[in-house]
Amino acid sequence: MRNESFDESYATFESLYGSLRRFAGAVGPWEVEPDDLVQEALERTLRGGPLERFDDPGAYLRRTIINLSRNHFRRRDSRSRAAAVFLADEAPLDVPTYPSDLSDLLELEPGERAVVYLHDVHGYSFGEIAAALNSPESTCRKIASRARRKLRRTLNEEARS
Amino acid sequence: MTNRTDQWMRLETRGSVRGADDVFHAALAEAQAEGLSTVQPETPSPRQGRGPLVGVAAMVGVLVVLGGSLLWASSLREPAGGDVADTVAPTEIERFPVPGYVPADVELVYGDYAVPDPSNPDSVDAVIVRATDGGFADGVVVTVYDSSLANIGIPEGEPVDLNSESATRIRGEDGVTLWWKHSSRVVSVRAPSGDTIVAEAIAASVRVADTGPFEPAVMSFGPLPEGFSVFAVPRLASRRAHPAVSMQSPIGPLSPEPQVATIAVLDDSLQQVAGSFGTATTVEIAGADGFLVEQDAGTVFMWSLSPTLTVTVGGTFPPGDIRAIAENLEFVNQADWHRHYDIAGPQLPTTTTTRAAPVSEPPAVGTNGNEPGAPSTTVP
Repeated sequence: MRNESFDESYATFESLYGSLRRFAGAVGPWEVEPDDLVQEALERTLRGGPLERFDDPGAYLRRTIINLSRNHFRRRDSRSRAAAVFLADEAPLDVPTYPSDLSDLLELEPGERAVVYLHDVHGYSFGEIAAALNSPESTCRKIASRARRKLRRTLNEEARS
Repeated sequence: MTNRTDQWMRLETRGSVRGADDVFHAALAEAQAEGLSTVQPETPSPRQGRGPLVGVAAMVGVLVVLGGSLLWASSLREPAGGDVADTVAPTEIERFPVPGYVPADVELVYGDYAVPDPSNPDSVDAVIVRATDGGFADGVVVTVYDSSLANIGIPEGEPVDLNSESATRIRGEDGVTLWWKHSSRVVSVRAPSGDTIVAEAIAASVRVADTGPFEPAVMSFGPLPEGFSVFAVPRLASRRAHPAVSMQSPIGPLSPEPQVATIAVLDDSLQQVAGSFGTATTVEIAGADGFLVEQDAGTVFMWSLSPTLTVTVGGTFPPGDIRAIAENLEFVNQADWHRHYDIAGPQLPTTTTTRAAPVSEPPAVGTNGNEPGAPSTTVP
């Protein structure tokens, strides 16, 4: 069933869907389906009205995907902390597991992953990333720098071990 | 090691593809169920400015660092579910804060709800303190958890014999805490000061009813150590979401940690809130008698809005700024607050006056493991 007032939004979303889905896959938590993340971001965005109210709906949706991903990570972290502290024997928790060869990327915070992904995989400049994520360019540069330090550290540790 | 490009490709292509049509209409249906708006966002107020959206977790978290959080184990009970709207406190009164003063270097102001984890077990809290000339000290928070519906694991720590009950003593950033099980209830006694002797002395006075309904009367006290008195009487801990506004300064080369401030209006008495900090001094703030907490982690002012509503303004900005924020608060009704911070939907300005800002991540943790809910706004 289609809401006619959102037909234009549908067309906009359809044109963005592929790239948003890949983006959600790259920045989202491993245990969350990329489509679910895209749907959640879209749902929150549509609550405020059609996508056409934005100059750049893609940037808005990408930013929302990052923020939602952070929520998932935070909830997961708090569950892990509770498990570690309480040793609740009768309460098994879902501790996510990832393929080991992806673990260094998955340890990056969603915002960090987004910047590195857009820069390294899509070849965006920091100016373009700033526009794509609706963030200041200087912030994107700092995030990229921090992410690379983390990755370097992880690689060094792997090399040592 | 796998090639990095391959790794990215595996990430971006993972999961099952539902297709644009399915995703869009599922999202639209959910949005409509939530009450979809088809109108344009309102023109932002002058105070709402620009800057990247950053989660308020760290900001709301200041209160946790300063006040200590309630730790608990996993629950067997099904989460209550529902949305923020199901759990927010009464809306008819003007309890929703809007700051009239924002420190000069703040780049982000964020309004949202802090939502208690619905799977937290019910609990009754009380606070015992030692009165001092200008306030109180050696505050101890006593909590009884209802474990009849939840498995509450006692954390591992040093074993302590307490009134013939086997307790566990844990030392952490939020002080020293004693835990023990009493029938179907779990008791914790936390001394934010870290004073073990005080914690154990108060714990020895705690009486917990084995049976009967879970209500404030499950907790009572025998003779308290000399100089101590009940500061906040036992009451059921609130399970409602509370409104919070946070501010954050930008992260710069010379300030890797942003300065933060959080304004919250809690469904607790002033004694309950102030007592959880362990030590506080009396202060006149915002035209009311309140309390001031000064710790390495920051400064917090708090005062009553009503007997069961307490305002806290705290953070890592200089104390003068925190006080100025507190002194210049305006309280509005829920509808106005939602409009001001765009709580109902992410539709605030970012880099142009016509664009909307993305939903920011919900604040993660409130004063008792809260996990708040959603959108908001950027600022000056």
